[in-house]
Amino acid sequence: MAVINYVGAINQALKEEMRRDERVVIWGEDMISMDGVHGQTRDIYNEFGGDRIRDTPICEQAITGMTIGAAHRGLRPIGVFMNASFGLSAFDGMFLQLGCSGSGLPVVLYGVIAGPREDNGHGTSPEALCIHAPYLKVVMPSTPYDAKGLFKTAIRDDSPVVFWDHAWCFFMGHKDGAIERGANTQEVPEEEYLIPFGEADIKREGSDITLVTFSFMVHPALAAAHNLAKEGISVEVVDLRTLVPLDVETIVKSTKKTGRLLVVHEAMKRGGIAGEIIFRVQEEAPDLLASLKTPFRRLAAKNLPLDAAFGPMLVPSAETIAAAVKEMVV
Amino acid sequence: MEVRKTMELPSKEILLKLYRDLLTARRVEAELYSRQGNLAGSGGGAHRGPGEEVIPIAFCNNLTETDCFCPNFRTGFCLFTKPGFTLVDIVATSMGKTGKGIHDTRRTPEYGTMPGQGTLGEGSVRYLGAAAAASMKKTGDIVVFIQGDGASNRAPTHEAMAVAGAWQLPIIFVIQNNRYGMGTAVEKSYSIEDLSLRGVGYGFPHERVDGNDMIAMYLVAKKHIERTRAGGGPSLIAADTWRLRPHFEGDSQVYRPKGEVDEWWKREPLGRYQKELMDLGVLTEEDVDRLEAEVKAEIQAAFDEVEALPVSIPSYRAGSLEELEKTAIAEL
Repeated sequence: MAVINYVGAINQALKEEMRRDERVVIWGEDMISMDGVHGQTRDIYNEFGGDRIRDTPICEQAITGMTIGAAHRGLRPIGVFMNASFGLSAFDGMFLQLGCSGSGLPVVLYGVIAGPREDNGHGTSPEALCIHAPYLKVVMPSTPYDAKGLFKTAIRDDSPVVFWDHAWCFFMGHKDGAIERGANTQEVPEEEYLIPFGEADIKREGSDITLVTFSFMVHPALAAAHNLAKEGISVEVVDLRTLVPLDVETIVKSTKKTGRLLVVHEAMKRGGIAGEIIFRVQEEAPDLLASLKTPFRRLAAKNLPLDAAFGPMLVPSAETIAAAVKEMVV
Repeated sequence: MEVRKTMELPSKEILLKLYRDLLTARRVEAELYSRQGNLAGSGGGAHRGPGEEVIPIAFCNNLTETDCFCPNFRTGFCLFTKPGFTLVDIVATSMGKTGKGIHDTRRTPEYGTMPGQGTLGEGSVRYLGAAAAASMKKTGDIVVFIQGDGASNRAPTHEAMAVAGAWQLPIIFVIQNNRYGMGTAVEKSYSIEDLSLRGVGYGFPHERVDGNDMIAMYLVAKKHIERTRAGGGPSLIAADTWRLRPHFEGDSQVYRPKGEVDEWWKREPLGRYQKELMDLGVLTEEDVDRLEAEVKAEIQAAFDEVEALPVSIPSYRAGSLEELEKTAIAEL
């Protein structure tokens, strides 16, 4: 089995699905001319030609609307905003047309969150805005293996899916308790596999606290868990992988075991998905409350705009995650 | 009109078909309003469109069943002239009825229409997607997308035109310029009088036409549809008409100068076309009376057929709340 990085995994998923189903088309910004900027669409034009992949002008409203119209007419389009933030200019299409009216339309909208070292126009994590829509499934993987299996599932889904990658997953991962460049590589099967939506993955087992997170934050969470183990604190890291549908069952089961729940995300805290997750746990497992060793807690970005200089200080890191865990466990 | 000088007059058969369509549209809209008062499916007062029927009818008479077509929301009732639709379809969907063989005009992608939406202008990018699909699948279908002067200022329209131009897609954009975007006059929202000039920047062939002139409108539609169908790419047509009714019934119309509406009722297209056909010797007084009676009977028959259908929930997503709930993702 070949060891590949996250971008290579996305590239494999796209190619495999485009070979399998000729209705799959990719429309977006710099899909051919820059290989999707990070290389996600490398060689796809050469293999499939211009009827299957096409560069659009920079116009996210058109990209979003086109996927809807083409899905009505029998295609299974993937619309790509270079950056997830750019997709916000297409919120009418994404939220109202697809999210509220798009049931049964096989559309994938894909964009990359550039990370907190960028401005809001590149680095914003928009998942909380998407989960509010009744018909949007929201996928945010953290590893190459998950990315490939989930992207293939997204393309085969008969309803709209929003797939947000995090650029830091392309370049960085966790290794020996630190975030390291090039560390997010994995053995990824070349043969067919799919990962179903709504199944969280326990990335690290533990007994003292349940740490629920997703997307790039899985990596600082795992780095923190690695370091805390040396201090005798056992952290269970749950990677949600998909936010809609949400695997509440796995969160509840883990929290029942550990007695503590911390939810971590990179998006801003106010209105962030941690509030939704924690309340869902409370609604669906009210019996859990009596056995909690400490109240639920969330760790997210400060409610401030992103900024190249201060951005990384606004969002959770391995250090701040470890500190939050210690406050809950000790 | 320039087009009348350069193109041959349509055959007598076509001229009479257009007359019958126009007459039927005018009468069925009035009947629907008197019975139901909720033409566009909107929750508020009806958004009526008498006097603007020429534009959709001209295009529909040049389309095939599988071509895509989006009428301006105000003239959706003219959809019976699009191949694939009947008068019964239009009456049924406007009256909140469904039944076997009755198409919901808001969701029939196989006949080239898509669900409507309240955020006008946004449809341009969805119909653009239909054009892209036709281009990629090489179906030969084309798309005609009509919206008003108000919606045409919205951002998606411009993105749609940018992509249509860059990709040379088979789509014709039409601005049904009825002079008002809700209460705002076109002069206050455009710096140009000929709205088709918007096409210049996108590299489109563009044409302004009198949208109350049935023959000119038909010829322009035919010319542009033939051009686009032959692989000529997109174009932009500005069809000038006038909104004879309020934005919605009950709107006080304080924004209109006094007498304006009366003045434009004198120039409405049905009477104008009738007179022209009589002048051309295509239509006689007896024909007018006979067609009026025939159309009346046809509309009555359509309403009778629809009357017999069960009332359905006026939802285009589901027939019951239980059915709607089944569409939800996991939990509610």
